[in-house]
Amino acid sequence: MKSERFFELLNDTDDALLQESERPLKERRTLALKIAAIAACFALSFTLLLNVLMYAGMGSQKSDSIYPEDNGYKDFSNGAWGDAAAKPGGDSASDSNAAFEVKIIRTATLQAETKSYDAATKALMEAISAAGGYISDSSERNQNGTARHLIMTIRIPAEKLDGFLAGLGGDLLLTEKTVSSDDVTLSYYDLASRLETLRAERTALSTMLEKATTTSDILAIQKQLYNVIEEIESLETQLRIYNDKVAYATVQMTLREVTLYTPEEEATFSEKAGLAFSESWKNFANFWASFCIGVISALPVLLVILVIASGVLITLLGWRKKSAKKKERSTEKE
Amino acid sequence: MEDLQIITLYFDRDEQALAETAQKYGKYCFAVANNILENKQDAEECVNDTYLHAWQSIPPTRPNHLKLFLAKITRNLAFNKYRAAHREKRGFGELPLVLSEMDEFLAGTAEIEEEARLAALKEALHRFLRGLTPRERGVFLRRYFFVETAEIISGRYGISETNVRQILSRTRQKLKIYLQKEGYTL
Repeated sequence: MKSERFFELLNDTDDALLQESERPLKERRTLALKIAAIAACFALSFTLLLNVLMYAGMGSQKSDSIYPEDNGYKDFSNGAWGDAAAKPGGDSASDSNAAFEVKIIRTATLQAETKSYDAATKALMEAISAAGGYISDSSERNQNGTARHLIMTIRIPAEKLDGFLAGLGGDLLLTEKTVSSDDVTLSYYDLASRLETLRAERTALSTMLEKATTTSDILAIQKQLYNVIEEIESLETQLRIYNDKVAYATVQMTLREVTLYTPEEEATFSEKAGLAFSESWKNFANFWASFCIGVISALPVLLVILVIASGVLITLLGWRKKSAKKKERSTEKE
Repeated sequence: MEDLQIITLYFDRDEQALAETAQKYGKYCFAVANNILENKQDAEECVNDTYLHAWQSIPPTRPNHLKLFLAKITRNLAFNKYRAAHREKRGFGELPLVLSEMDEFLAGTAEIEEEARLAALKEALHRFLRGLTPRERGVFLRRYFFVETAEIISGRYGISETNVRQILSRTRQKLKIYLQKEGYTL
């Protein structure tokens, strides 16, 4: 059977199975916990006479403690986390007419070499600044004071990435460049759609809570509401992360200091010979330096071994002397 | 607006149903189409055709899950568009990769044209899917129904990409053996 035919067959997959696949496993476990929590609340209601007195005060304060501020919702809809942000689900007629926004996460991996390390890093920082980017983390290694090695994670506004990459050069030679784009549109709008649904659920639960009269109902609705709020916060965080990744491309950069570029530049004989000699001398010097350091660091152990060995030697020598004397005496007697 | 209310609008032949559908599920359908076509313009065309198909099918159809009903229409339309554009060869993109992965477990299976046998195969496939663990089933459907990448699936389920690929590989192998047992191989 052709795979195209099978692909078509999958269109008749049971809706329940497809719907199940839309929810992450964590949510399904949360749903099971919610049901268990409500069942436990109903079971406990028969023994909660004393708790009615305790929660009476909490019930009157519920309007202050339960309704959270819309942390991040207004900021999100105003696009505070990047110019590529779109409102989750849309809350006005104009959103339905807005063009569909494809959400692409761009990443680039660069390997580069430079003979002028300081000038190259300075030019790189200027290029990052000019593109409106920033460095999210970096580490620098220095091997024997000559071969410096810089690893950086750079964030560049997505629309400026191509310009930034094209502008790299001068003292910096790119030996490897990989650019990739990941389309996360489906996941993004799926999350946004779920968020909208959860917000509607939060509103409905809040309304139910206002009208609830019995302690058991209040407890059950509160537990449900807290779970919904938790999920809303989680989804908002995920959307913020998506927005950040879409708005700012991520560039992983490795810059190595070299004396000779590879592979384009071909050295002359004298350059090669000089390089080989200096490398060899460096290795020779490093070896002896490492050896001396090794000996110095092993000194305490060597001293102990020396003491033990001396003791054993002295004992052995003493024993040999004794046995030699014994032999002499026995020969004299004979 | 709730799905039930939107469906009622369809049954009342109120064109507000289309506006509500577009507002609630437009972006979702776009994403389903774009996963297959990887072209914004084509995907938008598919979504617009989806609304037309939905208008023509409801009534008499009364979908239990409007979102998935629309997703299936969009998926079908997008796939037809893809096939029309790639008659000679598959081209590049996520869908060709998905189809290549399917070739793995379909190698040696017979072509089925008769309606009765097709219906039996669909039922066998459903039994297979129900026999999987929820995670395996979810990963399988996100890949082969929704054409999502391993990275997106890993983010959705909170597992690593390597784990996603392992699950897919295992499930494809299971499906291959299952199809052999059910007698769909030559």
